Amino acid sequence: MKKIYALLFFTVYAAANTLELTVSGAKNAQMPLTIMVLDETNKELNTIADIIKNDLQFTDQFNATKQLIANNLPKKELLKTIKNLCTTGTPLALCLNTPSKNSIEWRLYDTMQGTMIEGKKYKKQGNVIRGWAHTLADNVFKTLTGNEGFFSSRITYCKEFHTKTGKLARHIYIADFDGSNPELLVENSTITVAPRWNVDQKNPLIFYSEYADTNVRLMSVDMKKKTTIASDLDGINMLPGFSPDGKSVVYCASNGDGNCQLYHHTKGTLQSFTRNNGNNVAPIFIDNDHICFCSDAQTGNPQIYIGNMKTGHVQRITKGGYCTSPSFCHQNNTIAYHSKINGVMQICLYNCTTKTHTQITNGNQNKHEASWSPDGTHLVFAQELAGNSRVASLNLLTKTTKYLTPADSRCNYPHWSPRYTHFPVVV
Amino acid sequence: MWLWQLKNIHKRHLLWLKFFSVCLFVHLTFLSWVFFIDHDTSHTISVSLNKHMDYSAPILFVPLKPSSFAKASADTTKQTTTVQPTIGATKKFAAQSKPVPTVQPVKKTSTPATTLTATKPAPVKKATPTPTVPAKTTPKPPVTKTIENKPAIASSCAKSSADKPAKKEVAQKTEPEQQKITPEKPVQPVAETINHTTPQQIIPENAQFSDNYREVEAMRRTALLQKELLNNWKPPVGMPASAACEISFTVDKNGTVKTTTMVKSSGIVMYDLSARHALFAMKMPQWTHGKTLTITFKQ
Repeated sequence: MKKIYALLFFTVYAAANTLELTVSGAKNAQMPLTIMVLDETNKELNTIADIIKNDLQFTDQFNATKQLIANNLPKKELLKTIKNLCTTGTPLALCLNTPSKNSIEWRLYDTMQGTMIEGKKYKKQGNVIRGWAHTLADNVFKTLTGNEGFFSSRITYCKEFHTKTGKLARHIYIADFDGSNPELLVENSTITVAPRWNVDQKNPLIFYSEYADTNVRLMSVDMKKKTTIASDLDGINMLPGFSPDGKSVVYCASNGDGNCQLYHHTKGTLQSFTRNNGNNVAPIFIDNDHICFCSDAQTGNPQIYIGNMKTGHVQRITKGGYCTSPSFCHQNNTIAYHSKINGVMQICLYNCTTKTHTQITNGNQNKHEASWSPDGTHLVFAQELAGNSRVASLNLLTKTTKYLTPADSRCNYPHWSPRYTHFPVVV
Repeated sequence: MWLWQLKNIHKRHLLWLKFFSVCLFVHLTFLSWVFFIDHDTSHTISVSLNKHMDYSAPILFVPLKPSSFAKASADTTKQTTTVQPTIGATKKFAAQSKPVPTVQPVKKTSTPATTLTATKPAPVKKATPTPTVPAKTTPKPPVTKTIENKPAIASSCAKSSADKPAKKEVAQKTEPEQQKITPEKPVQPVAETINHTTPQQIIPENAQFSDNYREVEAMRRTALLQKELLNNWKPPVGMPASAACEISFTVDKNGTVKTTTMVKSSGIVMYDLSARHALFAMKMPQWTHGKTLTITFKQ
């Protein structure tokens, strides 16, 4: 009995009093981070640090600064320097070092305690410095946020210009995710439209449509600028969508019928998925068996549909209006599409889980061809502005828009690539 | 068997006596610890961001039975009228705040955390006593009579104490007044005059109030800590709404945070870091000095 009372006594003693506090109105803020280059004379390391800083700041989640440290600083002094950052309100420090010619080492420190949170040695892959920097930025971003980064991806878009004869032409460019380092990939004297990345991370290709003499054919181009004809059916061949496993392709083609139908190419066979009197365009794969596309067969105005490749069942997800250009993100299971609202094309989101629609853009500028980033936090699209067209990137976390192409050029048809371990550049 | 019990009956009594004395000793020890030794050093505080909460709400102590004011029935009815509108306000307050705070007093009796979360609708419960106040006021007229008579008596006392006839007259006057005054007609004229001079307690619609002073004190303490946290903690951009971390820390006698321990991580490094850095940047209120606290940071 004494033991029971003693047990009860200590149980009551151990039970802590609890108070619940609720705080409201606290604003979110960017996380300060200092990138410390542990060899101030190393230009390559300096360049990498600048690129990582720009990458992290692009997300609007970090306020990154760079600090140069003398080479071969003693470890105690380095820790002291790191701890001093805490007094300036910087809780994170990223130290970059090159232990050997073929590797780069990064270490993330908690400045308050002076302890290392994470550290890795990255073996250089390829010859592109900014590719290494983007990969390091992806690793750091994943350590801090738990989410995959998108810095090792690229975007493609069309840029209009007039030839010497005054003819309108479009060239295809690829650039980093923030629009920097644009590279010319396809230079034709004809019109090229709707470039699309494939899903193969080891062999990146861009599929685009090219105006030929008798038709609009589907072409593919690799990073060495080698082009191949992908589909040359009569009429229009454009806008391919690739299945996640990379084994199937669906694209729209008129095949001489006047209307665009969807064609499914798998296991060496080409089958027609739609057979109606409307135009069916912009197919994308939701998973290996379902596609999302735009069609005006039912209502006369383009609507967004989801179709089952196996059963042929088609379900409409938009209710009226003028809806085009669907783009699907696997990370958040959401379809982005364009809808004409009050005469202006805006971007809307359809959540496949909750089956709800949300309008995410406003304003008087028309938006076209939205494409998701690999992590599902950004959308790249073409925005018409004062008679011109620019490629813009919308951050869904902060609702801020950044222009990726200059104001004096007319750019459109953007598309975001997957993440690459080997950063693709034009050779 | 009965003979054996008779023989050993003294042993049984002794056994019961021993048992009783042990129990008494344990209870007395526990009670003495509760009242004289326990300094209530351990607190667990859950902090969450809720954009629907109104933190400008004042925290007021509203006694059920005002002692210094004249306890006229009209006065109490007016108090009830002033309190009644705020019942709706407190109810609204409780309805808006889905993660409702339960600001509990420091209860030294056994109050596990689970029971505290169950008592979340405390603000609503606090309002419920007020409807009973009008019911309680009905028997008050006899009390008001005595209060009313006091000025008369006081005035009579202010006169010469030797003036017995005057007293008698006053007493006689008071007696007929007492006879005249009925519960149905009381005090309203007198109460009105009293109300003109004495200030009424105005309770804002969004106020948090309680009739328990310890609860009010606990609410004020937590409000201080909330305010300090609000000034120092800014969650990183892009965090999921379900992110939460629990940090235990010790505050020394000077008010500086000494050691911190991550009790439960949110799984997001920068979220945990921002919470920990906010703790070190805070100026801890006086009541936290020398104590160990645990705070849950929620969004």
